[in-house]
Amino acid sequence: MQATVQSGVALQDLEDELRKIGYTTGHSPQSKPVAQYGGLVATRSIGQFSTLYGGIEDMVVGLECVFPTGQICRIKNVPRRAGGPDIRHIAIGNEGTLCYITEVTIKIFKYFPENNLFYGYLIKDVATGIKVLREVFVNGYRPSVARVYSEEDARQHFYHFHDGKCVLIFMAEGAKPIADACGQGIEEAVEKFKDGIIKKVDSALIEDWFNHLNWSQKDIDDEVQEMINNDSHSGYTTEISANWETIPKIYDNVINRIRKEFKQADDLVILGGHSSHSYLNGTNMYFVYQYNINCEPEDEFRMYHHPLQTIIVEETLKLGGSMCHHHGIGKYRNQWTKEEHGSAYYMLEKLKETFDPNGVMSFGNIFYQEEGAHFQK
Amino acid sequence: MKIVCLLKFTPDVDSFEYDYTNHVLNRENSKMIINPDDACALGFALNLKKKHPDIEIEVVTMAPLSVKSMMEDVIRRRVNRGTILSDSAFGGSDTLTTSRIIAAYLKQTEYDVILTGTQTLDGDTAHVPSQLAEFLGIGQLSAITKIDEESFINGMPEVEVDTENYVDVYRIPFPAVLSVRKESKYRLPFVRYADLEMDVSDRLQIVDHKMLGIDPLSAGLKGSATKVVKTYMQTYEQKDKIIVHNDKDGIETVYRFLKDNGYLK
Repeated sequence: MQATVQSGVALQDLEDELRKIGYTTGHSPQSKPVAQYGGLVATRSIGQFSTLYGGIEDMVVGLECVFPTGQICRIKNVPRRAGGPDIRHIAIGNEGTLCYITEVTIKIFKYFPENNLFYGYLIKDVATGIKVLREVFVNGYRPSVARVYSEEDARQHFYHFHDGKCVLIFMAEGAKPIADACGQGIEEAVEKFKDGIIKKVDSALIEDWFNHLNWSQKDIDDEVQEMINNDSHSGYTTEISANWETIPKIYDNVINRIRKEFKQADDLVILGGHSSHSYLNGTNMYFVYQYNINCEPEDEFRMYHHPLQTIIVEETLKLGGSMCHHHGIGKYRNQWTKEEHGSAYYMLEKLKETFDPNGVMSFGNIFYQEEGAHFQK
Repeated sequence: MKIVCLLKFTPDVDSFEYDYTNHVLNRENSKMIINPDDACALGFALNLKKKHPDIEIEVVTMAPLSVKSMMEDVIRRRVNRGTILSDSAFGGSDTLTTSRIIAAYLKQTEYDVILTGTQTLDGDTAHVPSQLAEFLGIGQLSAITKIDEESFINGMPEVEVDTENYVDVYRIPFPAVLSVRKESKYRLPFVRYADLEMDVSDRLQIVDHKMLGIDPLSAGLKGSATKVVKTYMQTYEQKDKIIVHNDKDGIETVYRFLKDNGYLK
């Protein structure tokens, strides 16, 4: 139950091949039609069915990578081992700063689309949705999709049924007894918090939405062209993670602070968020913001995205969350890498010194570089 | 070369929310913007100045002093000078009196050409540019959608004018009033991030009726020939939303709607 691919293999191609023989990668980021395996592993990618299949780090069995010295390392493919620290994680998520990934072996899963169950609800608020998600996960159920959307974010995703309310959605899949049990667990959790549930949504609408969620290269090209033509932005996100109790506090703190402090608040068209990846002990929050651009393109980052992401990151780190649930750090969040890792930054720094002593790999990714600061702040 | 750009700050009509119950406009959320036609005129001038830095641009507006911060942002776009014609006596002036006041200032000012918009979002009369040209005794063209830069620099611009059915091409000698339409798509640059807090107070002047030698009684409501008999709010009916799918029925519904409403012939 594993497949080995080179770094340039497109996720969509592998998925299509596996489907023909009744299997799936279980990995489905929105970028599936354009993403390739080297990038998926290097960025510690996660997909829309992560609550069942896990993030890419749960799927990688072994890999091959090349370090700047020319050293090629192959991490062998075994179901598990206790041979010292799990060195796969030096490569997974390194964002090109330590090594270049050339080959990946990943787990594959049996695929049972005929058993898929979809659930959708209009709910009172984000906090209610988080409570239901928590109930489902602490009871041990593993729906492949479990999401809560704020009113604003729901408006852009579910225009045909959101009715100005928050939206809670689930998808259960797998072998029929498993999918059915998961569905029952979802229904029980919803029943437990029924005071916050406004109404159930036709599951066909949720299924239809999922079937049209991924971006093709044409979608991306069209979106970019629209931005150029109209000086508009189709939306940015900054997504974070924290434990169950903290997430609603971070959400409220961020939204309140942006409304009070963000100088271009009048230009915001959408400000909201959704939780889309949940775990036994917490969840993520995808802050979503869309705005009219009233500045030159070169200034957009500093006038809009950076001040907004600064508020989100500060509020998250203040309450002990992580500023980067799955979008990585890249070049635009490296100013907070030390704060993100705290005393464990020592380990990260030593990895960089050891594997890339000349600092030639993905300059500025993860590790702050003063030369890049003027693009950020 | 000195270009004078005339601007008007108008309410952003697109940002109004309509209260269907009381049939009133909710103006609390409305904001003031540079009139789109005027913004294109200034956009043309600023883009030309990028290529010819010796061009001097003065922006002139007639408005209450509440536009000062917006005018400062206009100057921060690399405009050399800004002038606000502002006086309590000017309030309520009709287009003729407005044109007379602006002309009074421009008669005291040096310029090679005056660029402005054709129409405004709030007034929509297109009176001011032609009346102004009349008072100044210079030529004027409206509805310009394209200005040839090279002939403009040489003082005899070749311009394209949209007459709905045709595009006419004219040459007009300086000095002149050239009224641009937003369809020209001359893009007004934004204030750069580094200039957001730039102090431009030494480049902004406020001009009142005394400085123009205008009798207050000849301006404003009292000095205007136009008398407003009655104003009333246009009412709108709330429309039901129709959601269709990308199928035969949906396409037919959209096609029928466009046909019935004259969008398709």
